[in-house]
Amino acid sequence: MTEGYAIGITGVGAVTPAGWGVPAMLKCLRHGAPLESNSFQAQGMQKKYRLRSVPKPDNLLTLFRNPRLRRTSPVSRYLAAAAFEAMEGRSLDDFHQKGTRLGVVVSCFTGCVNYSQRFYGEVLDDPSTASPIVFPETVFNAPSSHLSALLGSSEMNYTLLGDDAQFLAALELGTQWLLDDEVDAVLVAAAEESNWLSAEGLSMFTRSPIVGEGAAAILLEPCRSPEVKVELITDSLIYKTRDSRQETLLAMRSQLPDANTTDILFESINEGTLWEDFRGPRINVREILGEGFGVSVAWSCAAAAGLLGSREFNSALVSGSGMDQSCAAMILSGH
Amino acid sequence: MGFHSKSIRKRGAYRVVVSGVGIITPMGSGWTSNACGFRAGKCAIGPVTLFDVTRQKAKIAGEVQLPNSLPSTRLSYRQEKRIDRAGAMLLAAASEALTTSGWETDKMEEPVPVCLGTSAGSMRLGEEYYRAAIQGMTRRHQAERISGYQAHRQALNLCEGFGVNGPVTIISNACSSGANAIGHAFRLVQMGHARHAIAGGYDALCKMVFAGFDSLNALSSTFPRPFAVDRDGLAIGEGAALFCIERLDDAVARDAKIYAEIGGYGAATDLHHLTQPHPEGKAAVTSMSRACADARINPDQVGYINSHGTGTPLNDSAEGNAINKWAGASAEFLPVSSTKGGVGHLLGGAGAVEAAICLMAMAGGWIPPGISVEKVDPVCQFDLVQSPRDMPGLAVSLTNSFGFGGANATLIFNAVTGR
Repeated sequence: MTEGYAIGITGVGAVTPAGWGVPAMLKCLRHGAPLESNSFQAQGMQKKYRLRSVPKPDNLLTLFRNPRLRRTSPVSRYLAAAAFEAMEGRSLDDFHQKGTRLGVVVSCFTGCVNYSQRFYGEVLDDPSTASPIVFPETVFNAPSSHLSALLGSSEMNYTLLGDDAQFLAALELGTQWLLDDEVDAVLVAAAEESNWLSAEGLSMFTRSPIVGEGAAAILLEPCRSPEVKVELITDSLIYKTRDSRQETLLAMRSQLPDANTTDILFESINEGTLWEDFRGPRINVREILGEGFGVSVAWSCAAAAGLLGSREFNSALVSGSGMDQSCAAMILSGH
Repeated sequence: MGFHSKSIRKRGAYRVVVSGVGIITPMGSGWTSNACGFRAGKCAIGPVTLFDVTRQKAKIAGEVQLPNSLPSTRLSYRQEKRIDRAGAMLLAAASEALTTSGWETDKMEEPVPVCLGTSAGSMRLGEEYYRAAIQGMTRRHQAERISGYQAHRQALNLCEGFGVNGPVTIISNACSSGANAIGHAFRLVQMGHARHAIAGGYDALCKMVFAGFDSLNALSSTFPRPFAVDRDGLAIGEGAALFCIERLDDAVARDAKIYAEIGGYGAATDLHHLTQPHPEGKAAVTSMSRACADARINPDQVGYINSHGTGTPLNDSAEGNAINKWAGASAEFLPVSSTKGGVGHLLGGAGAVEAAICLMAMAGGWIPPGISVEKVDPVCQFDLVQSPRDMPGLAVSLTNSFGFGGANATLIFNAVTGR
């Protein structure tokens, strides 16, 4: 990357329980009221879970007719839709003609849980008849593989596993690829799909959880004067022991300048008094959209970039305290 | 680590070396037993004993004989009790890697990134969680299973167990994960993002993945024989390998043993199909070419290739075509072998274990042979090594890893001389 350039966010995409696209997400977040939830239960099970699901799209997106997406579970479709929204206005042909090297980084926590459940269920019934079509879609990097194929990019593609803070680590990786001249642009995305197994798992750690699902994507590129600029991403800090969470969050905060120099805060979960002194407006996407597992912090990042892009704020702080593994934070500035 | 817009600087150019290695495979636990086994071309694949395969077409796998106890760590008894098969292999490899490196983790001032590759991690815990959940059994242990199943949790055990402070990066690029993790760590140190790192890959056998490959008819019903004309599939294996990676000047300053220099890394994505490589191995050519360009060498300077060589008809022909194209006229003299005939395909662990085998070959001056090949596939225009071979002075080796989803990765290692 040439000196004098900054790393800019040049595209944003989101699929949320509020709808398909960043505008639907921002409208919902501006309104501030938690979305309605539904209850669902696994087949043959008594227990019910609460869910904020992604509404069906008004029209079947043309994208979904691509052979790579025909047999996929929702997670790949959410990812593709968010990614292509982030690429909107950027012709793929233009990318290819200019020889722009487009890298892909996807982070997730539960991954392709629907097909994993289905395939393992088949294995328990009779492994000799388990579906060869379903198995490949259980692999963690199946969604990101589909995405690279849809984008026609044979450049580097990583799938990162981790809790919701992992999205900030994925953004950091994207900045490294740009700094190291591995690629010319990086699409960083996260996606999750709802499933009763994840809801059941979450219920062991959270009281009355409401599960969400969807995706978010951010296009990073070197720019001279970007509309939305990545100012800072802290180190990704691990919770060394189960008891060290608060201490780690404080260490994360110590890497940031005075939080009150930013206009809006995107909070995360279980942060205690970490942002008690923050005086500006704050948004907690989980309370409004649901627990998105690996995509919650990604929604925050996409929303922050969206609000800065529309010039409603000049700077934003995204706090990404992961559920049980790590934390990081990011500051974005507007033009 | 982290990113700050005010400190954007030019890329670094540090030479990076491997100064610690830990390995556990079906061949054995530790450098020595593995080096002996791979040098001799031993086969450590046998009948599956870990789960029921009576209704599967394939019946064999490469199973690890776990040590009787976990290595000494700072984990509590209660934490150790929760560690499953994958976690145990990871800790065994980490213990050997850190011991051989001589690193004193408590005295390391800068963060030590942990970069791990895995495809299924502790999927066995996920399987247990699912079975208990659908049976509506008591929730006892379910929280431990769902937490322990996460690959990040195993990495955190490594960090806590050995006093490493991270950050942790888990790359899950299917069967190239281990190579990608080492490549990523290499870049972190090479470019000055980190001073040192622990990197590698691991995976443990589990029924779901075994049945998955079986459903695809990708498993051998006899024995895996990569690059044989009559090959009929792969055998799944399990294992782990970890490297301690640091700058050459740091390793020299502390008079550390240097196993090899990481010369180059290349990665590319095959867009052909989710599970099938492009017949000409286009992305493989790209990843090998990128690694060579990174290492500033030509194909004719490579002394040995540890191929991905799974033993499936499609993989081996695509990789063979790729090596032929990439090496050009020098292919004829290029020794190539696949070690998957000896231990099986270690999935997320394969790239790291095969990188470790390259280091063993360079250290000992030999090439590990492929086994069970009676008639070689004519795609092999290169020198397919089929019996133990001495290769004194082996200075440059290359290893390929290709995965589902089209993840392709190549690592190149150079012997360090005249330090």
